[in-house]
Amino acid sequence: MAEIRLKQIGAYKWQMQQEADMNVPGIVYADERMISSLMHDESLKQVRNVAMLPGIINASIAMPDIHAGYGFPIGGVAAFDSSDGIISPGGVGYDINCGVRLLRTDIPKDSILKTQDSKTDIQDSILGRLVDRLFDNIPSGVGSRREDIQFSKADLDRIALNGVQEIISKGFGLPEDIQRIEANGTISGANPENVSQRARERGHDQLGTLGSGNHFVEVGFVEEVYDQKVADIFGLIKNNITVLIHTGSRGFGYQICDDNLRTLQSSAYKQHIVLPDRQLVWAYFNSKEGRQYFGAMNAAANFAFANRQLITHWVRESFEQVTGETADKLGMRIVYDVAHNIAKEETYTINGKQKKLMVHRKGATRAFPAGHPEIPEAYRSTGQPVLIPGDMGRYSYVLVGTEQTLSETFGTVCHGAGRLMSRGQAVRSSKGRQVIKELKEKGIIVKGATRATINEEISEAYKDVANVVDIVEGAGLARKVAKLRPLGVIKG
Amino acid sequence: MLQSERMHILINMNRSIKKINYTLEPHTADICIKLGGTTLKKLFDNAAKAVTDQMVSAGKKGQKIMNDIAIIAPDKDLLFIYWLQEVLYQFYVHGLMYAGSKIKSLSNTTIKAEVAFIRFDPKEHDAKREIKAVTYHDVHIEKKGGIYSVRFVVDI
Repeated sequence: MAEIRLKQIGAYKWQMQQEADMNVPGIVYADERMISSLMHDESLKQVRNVAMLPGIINASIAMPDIHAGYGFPIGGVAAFDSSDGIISPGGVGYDINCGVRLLRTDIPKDSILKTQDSKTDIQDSILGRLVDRLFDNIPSGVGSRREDIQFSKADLDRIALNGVQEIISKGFGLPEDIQRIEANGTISGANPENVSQRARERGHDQLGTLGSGNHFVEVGFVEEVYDQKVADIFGLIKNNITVLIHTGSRGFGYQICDDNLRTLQSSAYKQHIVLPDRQLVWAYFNSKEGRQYFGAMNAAANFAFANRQLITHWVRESFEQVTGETADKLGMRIVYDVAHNIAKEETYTINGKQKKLMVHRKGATRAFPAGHPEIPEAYRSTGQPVLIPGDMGRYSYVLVGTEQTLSETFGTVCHGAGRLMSRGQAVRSSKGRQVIKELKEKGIIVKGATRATINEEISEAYKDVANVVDIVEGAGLARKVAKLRPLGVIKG
Repeated sequence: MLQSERMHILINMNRSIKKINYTLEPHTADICIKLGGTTLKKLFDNAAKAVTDQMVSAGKKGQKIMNDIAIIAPDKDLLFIYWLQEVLYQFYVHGLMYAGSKIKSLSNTTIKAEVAFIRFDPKEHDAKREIKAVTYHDVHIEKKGGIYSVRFVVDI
């Protein structure tokens, strides 16, 4: 393989030289320290491989939370012309519409940290009871599910087609919730008929489950406000409680990705298509196989929105059970819900012409700026909230996209901190330590299905999300609105 | 720097303990498994056991359920991936943990096997982690000095 050559073209922007087998150059957003660390893994090679895909527009882009994935790097963005370009399931990943939802509240942080009867252990506070209740109410970890809800095959089809609207019609949420979700929680073009029996079997019992790995529900508070005007419009009030939900389409999405990758492998094999990595197998968007995947992928995306909606319902229920107040009185409203693993058809100006592109975001967040027609009316003057979770021991950010994202990164920024350590390394690093106790001493209650998952997710396993966000802001792609600090986390 | 981690599975046979070794290669986000086998059949069997070992604890008490499985693929590498995808499907949909197999025939494009599964019971077995999928990323089965080897990434 040819040597990867990077040239700094901006304070936080690096260009990967376009070699003969690349159709476009690579662009990586990072600082010098990050670029050095990237030399140790496969992520830059993966940026290069994506640049080899047919019909890619402008560049194979990587965000500062880039780390090695499979096929696309995590933090990767690529766009292809919708009329004659491709779609690649590997550019979306198995967890279709893995994403983040943020809830705001009118609850002051101090009111839930109080302990009763002169007890000093934070576990005895309202927060401690909340974390326990969230863990009881939200199925977390392998095989966990609620026995009290059942969805029929017909329900599953309607959810795949209508997403959040279907779940809300069943009583899990408020009609106004849909106004603050990407695409109103229903991506058009979903076709449940394209979903295999295996995907239905694998996903059926997983609707309304958090999953494991890096998925979480986090109770936190607004620690710092950087842009008061925008924070006011988002409903974020300093020192008030927030809730972040990070999960996706569960087994339904995993199996849909698997099924379509298999179909495309056979086509690629028959057509003698040479791929830099088999995970990058593709279909022309307008081919039968491309349309098949797009319809099924959108069904999984709607499943994921519905999944986060069900979890939101149980978050509200948990707060009601612990505080004795209604969710409405507590001001528990959705700020936004945005996908970070998805392919979407969006319109951009390319060489002075309006073009419909298939934008692939693999661990990257849509960040449409003020005035964009695809964002909710409530945020039309500010831009869409961009939700960037960090690790469970530090902080997360709410950003807002700038006009520059549309011309540089197809309206996209980072999606999180990005891992630094492998899971094995994280476990070795936490050996002999009491991670849950350490976090508790920092004022954070963590409850997980297994201790191993918590050890794999220690703060040191991740980049400092503050650095990642500073690079995005320094590069002019987004602006900071608020910083959130965790208080209680449940993990699968 | 990222480090490799050596793993082993101890399988309690009727009269002896069988040990299967595999290595977790450095991978930042997911799990990269490297293993070998003296025959292609053993490589497929060892890989299925390693994937299962990553999903559930090693203690495999329980009644065995035998299922016939047949898979067709365009080539050997894809056949290997599809075989492991079947292991995931059986676990996540039917609650069946791979426990071993009698591979009746194996070519570059087909496998026919009688597979022994044990039903997952949360009272008896500990779920370790969820594996979303076996990826296609850089999977190449190699044969050197009479030993087959493979390296593959599972998404978690």
